[in-house]
Amino acid sequence: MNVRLVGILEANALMVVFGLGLSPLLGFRPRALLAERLALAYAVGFTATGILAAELAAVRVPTDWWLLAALAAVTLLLARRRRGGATATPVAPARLDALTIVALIAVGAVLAKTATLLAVKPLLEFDGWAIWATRARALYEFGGATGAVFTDATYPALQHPLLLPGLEALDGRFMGAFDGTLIHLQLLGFAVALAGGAWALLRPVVAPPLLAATLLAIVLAPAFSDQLATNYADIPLAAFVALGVACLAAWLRTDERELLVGAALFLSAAALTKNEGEFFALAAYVAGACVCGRGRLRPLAIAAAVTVALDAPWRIWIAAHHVDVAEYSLGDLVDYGYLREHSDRVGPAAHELAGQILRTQAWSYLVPLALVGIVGALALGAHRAGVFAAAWLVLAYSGLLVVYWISTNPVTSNLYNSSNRTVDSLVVAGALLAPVLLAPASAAERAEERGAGEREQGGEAVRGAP
Amino acid sequence: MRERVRRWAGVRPSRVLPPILRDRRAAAGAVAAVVALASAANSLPKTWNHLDREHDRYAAMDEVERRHAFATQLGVPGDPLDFFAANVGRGDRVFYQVKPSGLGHFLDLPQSVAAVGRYYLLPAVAAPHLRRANVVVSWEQDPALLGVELGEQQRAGLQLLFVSRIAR
Repeated sequence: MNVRLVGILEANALMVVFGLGLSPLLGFRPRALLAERLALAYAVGFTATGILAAELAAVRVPTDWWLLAALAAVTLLLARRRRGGATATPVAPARLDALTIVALIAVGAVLAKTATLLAVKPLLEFDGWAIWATRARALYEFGGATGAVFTDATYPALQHPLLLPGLEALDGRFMGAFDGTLIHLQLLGFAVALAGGAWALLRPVVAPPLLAATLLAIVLAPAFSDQLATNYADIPLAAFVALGVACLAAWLRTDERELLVGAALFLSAAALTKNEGEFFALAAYVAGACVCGRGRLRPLAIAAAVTVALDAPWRIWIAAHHVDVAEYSLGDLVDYGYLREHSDRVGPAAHELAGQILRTQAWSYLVPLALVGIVGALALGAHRAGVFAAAWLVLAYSGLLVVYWISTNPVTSNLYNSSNRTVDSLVVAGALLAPVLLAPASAAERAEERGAGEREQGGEAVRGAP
Repeated sequence: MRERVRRWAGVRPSRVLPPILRDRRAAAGAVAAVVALASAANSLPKTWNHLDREHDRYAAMDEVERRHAFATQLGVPGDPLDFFAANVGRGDRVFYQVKPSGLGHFLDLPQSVAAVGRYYLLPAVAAPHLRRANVVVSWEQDPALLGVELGEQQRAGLQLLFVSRIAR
């Protein structure tokens, strides 16, 4: 096996160890089944490493192998000490039916097949090397976001945050060189984190066969594997957004603390992956706040504050270095004259975005799956989660539409170059919401229903009283 | 109606059959699972064949072809890039002097060479203006035409490919 490949495998193995230590510290319950424990550990460790790499890059500190190793050791030690006094009951393994087992094996097979491509795929697609690999290689060479690559308008897309380049720079340090081919293997990490994280976190609250089938449908969607290999940040963003939004919906249904922690972690990572991620995360918290009920506003606000706090260093860096978004200005959002003057962009953008979302050649039947989930939730009693999912999708779609509206790029080329990618998060998250929305009523929901029923009966009794 | 079905099925109420709400959720979940599996089945041949085709295409490349693939895809030959990369390094600020010429729908030759160089020549970085550069990379152009005093200069054989240090 070549030395560089060993390096990238070591980096990801350390992420698992980091995740094993970090998971209990963040409040994730232990998993009784080793496979689920490792899946959760990878999702948490990978996401946390990405966040860390992005944050440290902004302060010009390289995320080196020894730093990751030290963090893994320290968190493991702290988790071990904590476990002595902890009483959290492990999440019991589920008895899986044949369909679920076959679907999970198929997910593994598709990911393994994708890995064989990613191991030999060179940098090819324009933004993949001109934006993302250039920033990753610069982080590898300079140890942080410093110099012309990150501040000079000669270089494109300066506003994008550094999670993906940070992870690829980290791989470079483990490999001892920046290998433009092998860094593609790190992209597989996003798919593995999506499948493993969703399974480990959502399986206890949803129907396992539906979750396994949904994950299989997602990883097999032509646009998913096709775009994953481009080294663009859109599928990585979609993976984090889908995990974050699904965890938030599951928290709304179950009130399980670890699901809110998961939502905060993954939505923070989304905000640090691409600019749209900030908006998708904001939309998720706003939609959640609308339906969670007054009693749960506080924990939701804390989760949102964590995301804001983790996103802040990059925003401060952007402001301190006077980096402007070349393609649009948010100030135009409140400029009525500008909006009216550019209103002819709205129709084509809305039409094209909807067309891309509904393209079965790209997404197969993920959109019908999402619709079954939302309609089912609204019709069958999971109203909070159903309204949350619908509101998030509408807000996220509207956000994309607004960006195309205020963009200074010619609308035709703008849509032609990006509309097939910017919708990724909506489709993938919409699909992953389906198992959550159609999950059996949770204990919290049943208690709520009982309470509502008792109040109704009490009301009737009072009304019926002489 | 529910009771009649239960009596017909010979089961006691509420012990064996789940509550009606759970029935409906289970049915909706089953519909969703069928849609998800149909989606996977619909994608499987296309995605699997795509992964196969792409793998075979890239696995056949040697290391140099892979390294140059992004440039050749754009229409820029890769070999000159290695010559440039060998003669620039950390701390260099590169000005690209490229023969004005069309190349593709998306970018012309000067834009393409500059874009490719911004990635390939790292840790040397691009300078937007000649006055902020300390190195000139010339592609089918004579650096003497720039009108600045040049110091050390490398040329790729007899080709009009130069790396010239600006004398300050």
